[in-house]
Amino acid sequence: MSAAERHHARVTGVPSGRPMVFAHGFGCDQAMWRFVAPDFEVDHRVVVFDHLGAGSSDLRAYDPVRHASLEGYADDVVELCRELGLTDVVLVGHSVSAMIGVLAVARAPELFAALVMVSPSPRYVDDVDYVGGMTPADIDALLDSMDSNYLGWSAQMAPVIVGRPDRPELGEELTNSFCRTDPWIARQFAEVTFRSDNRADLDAVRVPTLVLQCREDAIAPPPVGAYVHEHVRGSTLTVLDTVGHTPHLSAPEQTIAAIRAYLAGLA
Amino acid sequence: MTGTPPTQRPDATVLPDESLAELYDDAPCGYLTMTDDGTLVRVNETFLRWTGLRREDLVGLRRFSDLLTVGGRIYHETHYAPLLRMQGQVREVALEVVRADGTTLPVLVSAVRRSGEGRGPDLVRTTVFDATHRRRYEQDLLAARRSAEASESRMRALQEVVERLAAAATSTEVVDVVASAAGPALAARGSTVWLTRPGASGAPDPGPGGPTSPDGPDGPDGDTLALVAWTGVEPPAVRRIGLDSSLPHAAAARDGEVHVVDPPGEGTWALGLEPVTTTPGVSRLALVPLVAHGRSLGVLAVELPPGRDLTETAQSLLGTLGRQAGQALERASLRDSEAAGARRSAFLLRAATVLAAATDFRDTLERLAEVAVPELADICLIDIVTDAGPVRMVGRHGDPALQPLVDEVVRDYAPVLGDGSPAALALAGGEVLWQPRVDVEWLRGATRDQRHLDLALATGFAGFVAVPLLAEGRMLGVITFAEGPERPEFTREDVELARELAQQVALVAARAERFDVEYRASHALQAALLPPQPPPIPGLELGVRYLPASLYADVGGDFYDVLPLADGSVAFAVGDVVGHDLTAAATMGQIRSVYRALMSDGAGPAQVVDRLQASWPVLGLERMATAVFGRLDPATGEVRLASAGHPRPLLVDAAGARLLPVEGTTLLGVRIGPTPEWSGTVPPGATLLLYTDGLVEKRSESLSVGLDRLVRVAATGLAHDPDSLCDLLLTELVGQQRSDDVALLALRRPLV
Repeated sequence: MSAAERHHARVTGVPSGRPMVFAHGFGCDQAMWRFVAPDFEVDHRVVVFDHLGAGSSDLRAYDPVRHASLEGYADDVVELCRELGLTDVVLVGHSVSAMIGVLAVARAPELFAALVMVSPSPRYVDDVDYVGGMTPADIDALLDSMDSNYLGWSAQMAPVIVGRPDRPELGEELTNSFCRTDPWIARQFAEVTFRSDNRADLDAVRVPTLVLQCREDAIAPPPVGAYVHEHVRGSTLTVLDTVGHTPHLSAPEQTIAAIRAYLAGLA
Repeated sequence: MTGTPPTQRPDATVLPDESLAELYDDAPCGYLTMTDDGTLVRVNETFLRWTGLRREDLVGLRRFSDLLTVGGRIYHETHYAPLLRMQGQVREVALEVVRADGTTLPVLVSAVRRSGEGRGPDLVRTTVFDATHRRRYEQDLLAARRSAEASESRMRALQEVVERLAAAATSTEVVDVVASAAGPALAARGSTVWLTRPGASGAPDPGPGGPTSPDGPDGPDGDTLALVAWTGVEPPAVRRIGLDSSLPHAAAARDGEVHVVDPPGEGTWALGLEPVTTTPGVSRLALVPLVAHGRSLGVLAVELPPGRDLTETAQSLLGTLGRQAGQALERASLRDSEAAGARRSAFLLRAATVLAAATDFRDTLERLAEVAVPELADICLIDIVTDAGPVRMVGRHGDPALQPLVDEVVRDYAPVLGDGSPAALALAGGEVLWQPRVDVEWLRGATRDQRHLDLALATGFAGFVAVPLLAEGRMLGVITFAEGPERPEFTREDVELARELAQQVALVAARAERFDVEYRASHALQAALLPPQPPPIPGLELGVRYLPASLYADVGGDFYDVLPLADGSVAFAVGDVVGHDLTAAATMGQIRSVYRALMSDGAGPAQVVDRLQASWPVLGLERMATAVFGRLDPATGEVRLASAGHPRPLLVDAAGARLLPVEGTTLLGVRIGPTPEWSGTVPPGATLLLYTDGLVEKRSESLSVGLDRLVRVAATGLAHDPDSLCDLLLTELVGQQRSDDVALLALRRPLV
């Protein structure tokens, strides 16, 4: 099975355009990009995919050893790009995938032209002289909650047909049909994500980098975005006027505009 | 019984007033409204009552996610909010709200986004249901599912083990599977496998009673558990546990139940257990009996890491594993014993073939050692009892490089009755001695000096079976089979095989020995009966030969005799008694005595035959015989001949060689009847030849062919004197290989 099949990768847009690869973060799947990625299809080759364990990925390909660290996920991204024959890639990573992007760029610098980090955090837990926004106890509580709130985290609720007159394309979808994750893999992914510390890797980024930071974010608060901006050489920091951890959902227009403005500046 | 339908619809007008505010605030669920960024703008009383929170602390100040537990907040950001954005609504998501008093309230939350449609901000309307009971149900469900998953993963592990057990063809393979089975299933550090061995498998210390005898139902030492495999741990120093031991291994084997023992120091078992576990700080030891049909075939000892508890499910899994392994073991050991039986039969058949092909006794023993080493043992020593004590006939080692050392043992350290060697002990006790393992101290007692001990150690004398050679109640000798430390210990089956082999050898040895006795006696008799050289007879030249069949040195029933008579004539005879043994020699002696007596009294050859036939029953002779008797006058050459079933005599003269028409009766001892007598003349220069059928008879051809050949060869020997004629005939007709005795008597009248 190819990497594209494993990751349920979808390639759209202009075949001759510059490739943009969108990597979703913890908790959801490629559907997260549905308000942002289509905008780039007019002038880019757009690739969205699911990390193993999320969405429609092939769960059998999940390897507890390989995916016990973010490096394994970065290898997945590199493998996917190589298989699709992509170069000059703009890699857009949300949340933990921003860090996966950092690692992927370090692994295969020849593939990537730019990195867009959406709500990144190199370390979620506070440290000496570093504010990550969470305490170790918070992470334990999170993991405990994942253990106890099994049904909630797996997001497998009673299916109800919903009608959305304003978004007819959703009419046939089931309630909570997005962001389905394998609960066991989600638990592993949470552990890998929230216990990771990639501060040292930021220094190795050698491609133009845009950091997108929400005005308020409980998971990656503004000081964290500032830290990333400081430690990635020549990076650009754009603060979006929205609240939460997912600006591509809460403020898709701002997100698109910020990315387009940055890419225009590179050219 | 029929029900009564309501006769009247409720009258809405008489229902109490329900204001919208009341409906909102007293709803059976919490009701929250928030702006697009989650800021609370409206909260109903139900929610406030459930949580103990105050409206003024919430509205316009807090976001919905602020009310959640930490895990819930992260879930809100990573799952709930994105879902709400993408779908416009979420249904029945499980979250926990933190109450004012810090306790948590499990809730199910549904939310829907409502567009402000230009007249105001987008709003999110959220209902919150108390999910305390549902959460409990979910947790039960979760616990059940986790337990199912855990047991499913155990079942998978067990299934794998069962499949591997099914594929294991031999006991050894089964043991290997068992040894490695517990590791993955229980995160065990390692395990050891012990198999039940029937008694007499030898304590290392033979004690004053010496090594053990395998006789008796369970042997003197009782059943034991023997270590056969280990994985993940160093092999324990103690490799044998008595089944009556107080160690939990033995207890598990006895009662067929899984035993779990606590860490050393916490139980009474600690003192006794330490030698059989090797991992320092081992926390828990699970002893799993390997059971088939209610019988423990062994024990699997699983060492679990410190702090690792063994749940009831895990214990029952271990029990299942033990039963599966027990069945596989039983099946494999059946197959093993079938294979071993086939091997044993093949081995014994080969041994029998070898023994049959041996040319003499020593050869027999040599070949036997060749068969036994290395198939049965690494070393084979054979001692034979003689008048002078045991003589070490054979010593062989499976490793040619070590053969010189064994040769040295054979040369310098043959057993002496009363010493501590296995051979001497077995000879003294008259019983099979079996000791699977001996240690240096034991060897020191069994050897004569330091060099002897060094040789025993260097040749790898690690265990032995010593089997006496018993035949007809007599002790003929002893075979000692020894094995090196690398070879699996001798089993009861090996001992049985050694015993059967020894029986075969004892039979051969007994036969050879009886033969030896008879050979010596008949040799002595024949020495008396066969004159070494006939006396010189005036007027006659004589040649005599006696050649025994090669296999039976010097022993035979053929004879010749020459007797000068008082009247100047000569009586002579050549005969052939059936058989080659003592009886044959005795019969020959009697025939000779009778014939000599009769001839001395003046009887003719025919009379001798008739009288012998007549008196045969009286003489009590057991064997039949053929013979030619004759009387010759050397002066005239007149000769009279009579035959009893014997090949016709041959005359060699100037005309050539020819068989004389001496028609004989049947064999002596068969019938009584008048015997014809032939008379004729032996001319000067002619030779009369009497012989036994060994000269002319070959198995592959008829007698007449052999006789024609005799006549042809003899015709060329006219010029020969009797001695050289005998040599000529033997060389031409018999050669080196004889299957029968040959006796020749040649009488020649010299030319004047």
